[in-house]
Amino acid sequence: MNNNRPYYEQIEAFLSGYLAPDQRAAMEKALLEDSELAREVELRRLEFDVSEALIAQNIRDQLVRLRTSPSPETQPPAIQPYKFRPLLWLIAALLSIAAIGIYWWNQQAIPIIEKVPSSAPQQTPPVLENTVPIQPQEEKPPTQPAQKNTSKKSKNESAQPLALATTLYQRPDLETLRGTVPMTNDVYQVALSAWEKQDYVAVVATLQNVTTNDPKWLRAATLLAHAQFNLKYFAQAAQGFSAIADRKIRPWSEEAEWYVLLALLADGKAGTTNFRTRLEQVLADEGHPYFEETRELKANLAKH
Amino acid sequence: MLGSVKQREEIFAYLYQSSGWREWVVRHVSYEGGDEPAGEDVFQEVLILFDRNIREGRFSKESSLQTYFLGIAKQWWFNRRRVARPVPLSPEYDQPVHDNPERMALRQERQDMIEHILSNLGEHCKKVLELYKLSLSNEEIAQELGLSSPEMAKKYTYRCREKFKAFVLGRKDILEHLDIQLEP
Repeated sequence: MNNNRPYYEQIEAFLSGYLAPDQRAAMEKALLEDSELAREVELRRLEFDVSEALIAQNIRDQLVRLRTSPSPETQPPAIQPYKFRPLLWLIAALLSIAAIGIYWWNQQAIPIIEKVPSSAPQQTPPVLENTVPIQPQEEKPPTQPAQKNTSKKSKNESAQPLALATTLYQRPDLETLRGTVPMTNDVYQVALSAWEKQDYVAVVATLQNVTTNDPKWLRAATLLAHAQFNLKYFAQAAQGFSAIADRKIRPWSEEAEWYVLLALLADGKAGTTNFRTRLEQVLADEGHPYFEETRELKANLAKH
Repeated sequence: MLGSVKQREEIFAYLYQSSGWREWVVRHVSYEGGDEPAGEDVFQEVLILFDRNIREGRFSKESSLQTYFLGIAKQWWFNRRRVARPVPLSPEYDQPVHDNPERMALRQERQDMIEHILSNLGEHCKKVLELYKLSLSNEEIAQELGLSSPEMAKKYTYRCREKFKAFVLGRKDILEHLDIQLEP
């Protein structure tokens, strides 16, 4: 087999018919002499056939969709905009008046709020699932006793996991999250544009109301959790990534399984059962795409 | 057809809706003893063959793409009719028949095996194998699957292909069909 290593590397070219005649002849000769090479070729040939069957099925599915959808010729003509132009102008005018009114009202309202005595309890919006906190977690005012009591670690102790988590964290590539068929004017696209500008607050604000029923929920939830991580809302990021991981829909779940570890780590939760369980789950699967990273993370944590 | 998934879908939509090739195939099949559904069926299967031939570089550019496509369609319908109901050959179609009962049985057996493998592959791995076979780059695969990086796509592709291999190597019946002897 070792003598035939060059042939072994040319299996795909052989099966695809890309080899020159002399190379092809050499490969055919090698196949007769080397059973391991012959086995690899047959396995690869079968993989090719399976893949082609999938491609064929995809084409069939698309043609079925085309048959059931109206062809461009039979589609109804586009709405003639000029017929509705007066109505559009009217709506635009009303919206402008409303916007000016709201702006004026806000301007009037600001001094009243400022007059509230500082001793009055500060109103904080209720923290709902997948909603945006007003401030990043680390900057929460010490008026929240629950957090105050639980955070007994010194700054140095919590800084190490945080530094480790942020070092290991990689900002996902926008283009891969965008998908192949981007739709315009949907919240996901708006959020992606904000992500591109690193406006994470806008990302969170845009995606906070996307529900699990939405076909783009997985992408949106992933983006939302990443934005929360970048805003240092680690607890919420961990919650978001956990929800995706627990869905067990690959590849989303596997990526989320890694990021939930980082979010928990950054949030100072590396000592929790949740963290350890999730860490061991990844390590139980040697084929996990983040197996190596997780193993290194575990070794790193053991050092401290 | 050599482009991205989106570009491929656009070209298939064009060929189906606007090229006029489908209408030609349906007319030809109807004229040659078939009907409209049979013509639609031929168009679909020929499109699959055509796509594969283009991707694998079998189109020699000696004719136009249209002539090439319609030529495949004529041959395809001719072969199908001959299998279903032997008919006298017209000189135009007088070409050797490559199929014999044994070959057809083997092909059917392989087809069944492929169906079986497909039913055991996860949806994600199916998509990965398909994209890999379309010769998409790791970056394009990452984009299709919504992965965070081309490196992730590479990992997933490798992993799915290894899974496929492990599945096949774990099945005696498949190995026998492939005439593969495992090392002792």
